[in-house]
Amino acid sequence: METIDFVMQGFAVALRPENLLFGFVGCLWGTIVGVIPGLGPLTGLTLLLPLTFKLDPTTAIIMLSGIFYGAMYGGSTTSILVRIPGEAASIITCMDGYAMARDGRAGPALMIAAIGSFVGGTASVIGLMLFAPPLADLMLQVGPSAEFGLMLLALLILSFVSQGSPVKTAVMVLIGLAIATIGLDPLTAYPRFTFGSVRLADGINFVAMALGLFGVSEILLNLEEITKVHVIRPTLRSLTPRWKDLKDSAPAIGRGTVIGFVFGFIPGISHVVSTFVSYAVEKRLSNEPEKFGTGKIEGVAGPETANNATTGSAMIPLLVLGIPAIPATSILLSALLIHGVQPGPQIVRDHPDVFWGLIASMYIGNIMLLILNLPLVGLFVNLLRVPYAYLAPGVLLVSVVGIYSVNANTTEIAIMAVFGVIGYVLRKASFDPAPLLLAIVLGDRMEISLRRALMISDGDWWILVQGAMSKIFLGALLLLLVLQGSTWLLGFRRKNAAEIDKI
Amino acid sequence: MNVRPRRLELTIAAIIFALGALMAGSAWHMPMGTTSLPGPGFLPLAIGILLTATSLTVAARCAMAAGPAEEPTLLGHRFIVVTFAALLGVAWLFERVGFPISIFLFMFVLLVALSPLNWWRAALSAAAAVAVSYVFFGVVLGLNLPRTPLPF
Amino acid sequence: MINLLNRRTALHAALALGIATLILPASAQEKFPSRPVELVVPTPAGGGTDITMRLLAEIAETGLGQKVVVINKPGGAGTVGVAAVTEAKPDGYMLGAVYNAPLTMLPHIQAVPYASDAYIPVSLSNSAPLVFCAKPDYPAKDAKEFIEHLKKNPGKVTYGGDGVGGTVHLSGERIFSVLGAKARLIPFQSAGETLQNFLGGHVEIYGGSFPPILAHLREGRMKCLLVTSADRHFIAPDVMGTKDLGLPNAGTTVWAGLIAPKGTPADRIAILEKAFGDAARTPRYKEAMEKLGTRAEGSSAADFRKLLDQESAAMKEVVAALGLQRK
Repeated sequence: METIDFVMQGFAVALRPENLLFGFVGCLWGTIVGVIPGLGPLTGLTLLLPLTFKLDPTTAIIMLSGIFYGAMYGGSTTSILVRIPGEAASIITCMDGYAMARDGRAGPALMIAAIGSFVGGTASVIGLMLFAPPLADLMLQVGPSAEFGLMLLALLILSFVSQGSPVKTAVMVLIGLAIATIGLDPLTAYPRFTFGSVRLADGINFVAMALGLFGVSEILLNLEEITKVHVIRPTLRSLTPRWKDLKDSAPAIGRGTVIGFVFGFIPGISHVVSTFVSYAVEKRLSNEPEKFGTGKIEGVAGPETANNATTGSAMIPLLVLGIPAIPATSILLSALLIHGVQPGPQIVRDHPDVFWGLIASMYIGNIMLLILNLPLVGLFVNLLRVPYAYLAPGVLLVSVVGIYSVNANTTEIAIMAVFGVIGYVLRKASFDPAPLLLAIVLGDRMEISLRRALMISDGDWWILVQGAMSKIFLGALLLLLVLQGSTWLLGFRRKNAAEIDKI
Repeated sequence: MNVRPRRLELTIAAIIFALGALMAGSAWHMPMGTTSLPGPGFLPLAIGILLTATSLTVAARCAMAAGPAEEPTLLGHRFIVVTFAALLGVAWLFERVGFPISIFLFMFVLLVALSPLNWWRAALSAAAAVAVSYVFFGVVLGLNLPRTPLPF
Repeated sequence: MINLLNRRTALHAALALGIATLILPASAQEKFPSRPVELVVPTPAGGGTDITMRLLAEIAETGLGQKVVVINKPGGAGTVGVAAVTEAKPDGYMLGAVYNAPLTMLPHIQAVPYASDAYIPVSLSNSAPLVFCAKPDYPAKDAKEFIEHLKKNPGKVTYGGDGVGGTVHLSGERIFSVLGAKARLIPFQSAGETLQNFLGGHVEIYGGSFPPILAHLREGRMKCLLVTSADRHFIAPDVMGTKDLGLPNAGTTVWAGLIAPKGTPADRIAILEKAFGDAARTPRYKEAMEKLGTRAEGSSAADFRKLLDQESAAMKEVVAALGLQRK
């Protein structure tokens, strides 16, 4: 039971006053940057990085990782309150979270999001602690060909998410894929649809599009009915979830944890992909799938749990392999290196204080975040009492500053505005912008992983079905297709039978 | 302006059709690669063709759907035009005149247009919004906000 | 009465002073810098250049007596940030913290919104070679055998790196093309992704910077074959550089340095050159850079100019040899 000794040792480190203090600062900071649309963990980490140069390495990493997972807590807040995704991982939460808020149930939605985040975050730390090395090996097995399989699987699951008609969903997915091709082709540096502009070389900023399609379009729709928008007056009773809410959410939170941890395998976009996979799963398993999008609490609980459950797996490549899989962890890597700590297979042996101290601090941090976030629910819900004529300009102000700060670029503000109008028109014609955004995330990676795999195999397509991981992902894909096909057939027959009965 | 939903849907389908055709057309000039190694033009071409096909399906379904007479829906309310213009304006001004002035103008325009405040109350509220947001973003969060390019 | 008069005079004086500062051009007598200096980093926050330059900025504040504000302006593979610097007012208050690609590499491959004389070098801050590494059982033990192996299997060996026309690709090909060796680049988005695919066995050779592989190197999970600089590197002194291959002029390092917009007064450049050069030579900076596997430089503006010119000329040839030159 060596591990227990180490964990105890880790808690001794994490409970030192200075570590507790800076851990709390990190969590608080993470929550703030997470709440503000546009700002995410990356901005939060950079802003506080200079401070850590003077700190002890353990304290520094405890604070910085606090920002990292703290931001996942904050992200859902604006999604639920005003349908503005605080960050990409909270896009899905907009659908049912905001519907709940329109129903006067913003309180329960925010609380369930916080509770789900807590469960997901804590479970992922346990996973990190127990299975980090074998999981790291498994992650290495996912090469470009397996990644392509996983992307195909995710794209299929994406088609379950939307409420709109299948053809309209397909159109939205295709437009998303089309937008994803804008910019320099990453494999040949060939400019696609850049019209000779350097600013388009990296494509269109995703966060700006998300803020526009979701947040700004929603504000525009509401402004139209500004005189009619009924003011939601939440009472204290309505702040806390009811027993039924908890009962409905519990299984979703459990599944969200597993999904988040498993999808942590695709570095970079796992926090986004896991949310809509979780949403799709909840919708499939539900007795009333048609009610998703109208304020089902499972649609908040599952995805919010899933995106926090990926934080643990995002730390695995960093700590065990020294690989910064996402930009946020590459800042953590630099911070560690500056302090002379080299993450890698030997970190546990060489720097047990840092490793176990960090793990223990993540348990403590998640508890701190829960305690921090629950009282905030009341505060945030009260924001909804502000008349819309004042709330809308305020929200837009925060979005403008937030989106500007991502790249210090004013073009992003204009992109947000233009996509706001596009989203407004699309929603007037009942096109759902969610599949569009998610397809952008997937499309990029899908094309690159396919062509990369073919580059490696020198043009041999069989590489796509070679390797254990590819087989697993493609197998799951086939299984889903068969299931989907059979339910479709069955549903078709049942419908026909019902019609015959009517006659 | 008021539009019938079905006409709106048809217009969107037409725009998407045009975009798809445009995309396929310009992708045609990109390197296609080979069947064993698709080049940068392959996916855009495929997407462009699929877009034109699906947009035609949308249009066909829309045209065939024989519904009852529809309520016309409002498109482009005055508030929406103002808000869109304000957003574009702040994007243009933000780095040119700095954070305080551009945000003040932005909030002032929105408050005058959207809220029941008269102009001087709106001006005061906008100034207050600038002060509060400056303290929060510039001081507490320490973000780099564009300064006013005047030498004092 | 006197009191009032005085007050009025004081008011006038203050007004006059205010107007004077408004209309007088920044004169040589004015103390420079008298307000914070902005440093544009053309990469997203957290990248290699960003971290090393943030630390340098913090140290240089002592020498300058002013704050140095770091602003990230990523986009267009660094060209958006460089363009912002070249378009800025040349008063010494806006500098760019840049690396190779947007100055010496990309302009040969694609159109960039600035000319090569739109900026002037201030000081080179740090530099490190890139490195090619393989698994321990790879059939080559040093650079010479590696090149032989590539020649014997032309176009068979796959190496991971940072994109077509990227730093790994060009500095590698600068060596390979001269020696007649051919390898297949598999482009990845980051060194981390390259490393992951290398460790997972999806590509044979890791091509990239040292920091991500330090731990794996120490444990013998990989062996390094070739560094792209002319000289060997302190991190792995037993790994050959291009001098050992008989190519003393084919060495490339990934460097980070400071540039200013064209037309910045020479006396201000001198102040900045000294402040940032001194900062780069402090033990604190040296030590931090060593931990990141990088060498602190702190060179003069003239030396930096020479490096820029030589590298740009060499990269022009490499780009042409690869057929990537802009049309």
